[in-house]
Amino acid sequence: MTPGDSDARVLEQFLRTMAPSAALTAVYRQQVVRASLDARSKVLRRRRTQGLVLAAVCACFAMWLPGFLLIRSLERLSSSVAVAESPANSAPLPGAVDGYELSLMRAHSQFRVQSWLASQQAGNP
Amino acid sequence: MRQPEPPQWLERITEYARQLADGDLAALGPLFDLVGPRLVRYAQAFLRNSSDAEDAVQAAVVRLAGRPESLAAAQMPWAYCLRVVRNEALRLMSKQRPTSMLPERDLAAPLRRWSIEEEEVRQQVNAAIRRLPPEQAEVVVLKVWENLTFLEIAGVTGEPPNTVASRYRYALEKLERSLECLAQEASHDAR
Repeated sequence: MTPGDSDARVLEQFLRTMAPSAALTAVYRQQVVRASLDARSKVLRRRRTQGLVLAAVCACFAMWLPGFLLIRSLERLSSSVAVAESPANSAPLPGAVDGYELSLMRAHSQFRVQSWLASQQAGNP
Repeated sequence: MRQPEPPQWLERITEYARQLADGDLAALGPLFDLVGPRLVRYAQAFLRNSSDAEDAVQAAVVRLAGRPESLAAAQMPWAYCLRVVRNEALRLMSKQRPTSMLPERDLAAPLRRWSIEEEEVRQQVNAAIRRLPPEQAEVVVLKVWENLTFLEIAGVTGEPPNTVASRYRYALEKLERSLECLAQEASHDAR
């Protein structure tokens, strides 16, 4: 240890004995504690309010979600039923004959038959 | 030889902070009683004004009360408190214009009665510390009166440990020169 170091230690010890150790005034203490209490109460109140708002939003969402899902499923169900009953599903098969054509063919064949009978009767007295 | 901070004292700071974080507002008073005087003493080191020091400490304590969870979780709670006070003091200094130095007033009635000679010596020592540049006075107060290591002081001030050690060395040299006359008077009285 150099002489400088020992001098520094001595000075340090001396300064340590000169440390002020006074108490603060009661007025100042009261002022600081009151201001701190106000600040802390404000923080706790804000957190409580934020918690209530969050709980309300979650509750609303929890109440709305089942109804929303039910409505969506009902919509899907009704749309699938409507598709099954639409006229597009009773379209005739390709090559099939509808009722009008069938009656025409029937009438034409009846005429051919009657014409042939008439020609036979006219040919055989 | 450096006297380390009693562990019970540090544990009490953490305990009060934990109680405050749990919602027990009654812990504020004891916490302030524990740390308040020393925080004001530290703030005076570079604010040079008792009123400003008290304002800075009040703002710091309000900030600590708003978020006690940070103090409860701090590894070095006392250094954390000092850092908060320092930030508030710097904020105060940046807002204020330099004012004329008002006559210093003591914090309050001292805990023990000083004799007239002791009081005179103490005032000369305090005046010598105030004549130091603020960054050197701050290091002296933290090292000598708060018993922090250079590493802890570096954590409070945000400066590298080597810079802190240099400032402390220069401060002690200046104080030695300032207080030499006191030492000479003391040795003269001893003869």
